[in-house]
Amino acid sequence: MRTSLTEIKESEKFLKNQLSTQESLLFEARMLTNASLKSNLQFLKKVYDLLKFYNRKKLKGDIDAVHVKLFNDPEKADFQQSIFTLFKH
Amino acid sequence: MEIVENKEIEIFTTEMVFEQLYETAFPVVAKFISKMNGSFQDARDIFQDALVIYYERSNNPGTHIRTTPEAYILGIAKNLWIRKFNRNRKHISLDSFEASITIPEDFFPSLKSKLILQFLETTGKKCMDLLHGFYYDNLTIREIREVFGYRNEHSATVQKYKCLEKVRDTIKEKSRIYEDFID
Repeated sequence: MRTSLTEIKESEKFLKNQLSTQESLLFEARMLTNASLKSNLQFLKKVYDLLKFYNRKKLKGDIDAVHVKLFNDPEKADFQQSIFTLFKH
Repeated sequence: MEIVENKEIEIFTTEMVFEQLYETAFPVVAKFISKMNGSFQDARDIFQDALVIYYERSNNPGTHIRTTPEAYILGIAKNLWIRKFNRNRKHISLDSFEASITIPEDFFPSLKSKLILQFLETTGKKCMDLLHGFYYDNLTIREIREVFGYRNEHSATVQKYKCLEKVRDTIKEKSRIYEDFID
C-alpha cells in the first residue's frame, strides 16, 4: 500500500482509539513535527462527519419513499383522509 | 452470496419499521404540527427528520429509550419544531421528558458541508457508497469485494483507503474554494 494510504490507515486507527498507548503517543509526537499529518487528520475527521450527513440523507430518502407509497396506496385511503383533515384550516 | 442476502433482509426489515412507524407516529406528529398552524409539508419534513434521529438513537446501544416510539418521536418533533422555526418554547407544552430530549448538535449541516456533499454525490458517488457500505451498512471487506466487484479482499481494502483519501482531498480543496464565497 502507498505511504499516503498507510498514513490514512493509521490516522483512522488513531481517531477510533484503536492504537496501543505507545503507538498513539508516537502518532501524537509525529504530529508535532509534521504539520501536514496534523492537517490531514483534521480533514479525515470531516470525512466521517460528511459520511454521517450522507447516511442521514439516505435514510431520509428511504423514509420519504415510504411516505410516497403510503399516500398513493388506495388501500390506505382512510389513513390519508385522517391526515388531510388535520390540515384543512 | 449468503451474507449479502442477509443484509438485504436487514434493509427490508428497516423499511418495514419505517412503514409501521409512519402509520402509527405520523398522525401524532401531524396533529401537533397542525395545532401549531404548520402545513402538511412541514409535518412531512419534521416527522422524517424526527424519524431519522429516532432511528439513530434506537440503533445506538448506549441509548435507552424508556417510552413508546410514538411518544419519543413526538418529543423529537416538538424540539425540532422549536429549533427550526425558532418558536417560543412558552407556547409549546413540553413535559419534563420531552424537554429532556436533545437534537444532535450536528444535525443541520452548514451550507459548506451541504455543497461539498452535493459535489461528492455527483462526482464521487462510488466512493461515498463504498464508505457508506463499510461504516453504516457494516459490510465486511469480503462483502465490499462482492458488492463492488473487486478482484480480491486486498483490492477492496486498498480501495477503502483510496476512497478515504479521495474524499478527504475533495473536502480540503472545496473547503478552500467555498470559504471564499460563503459568510
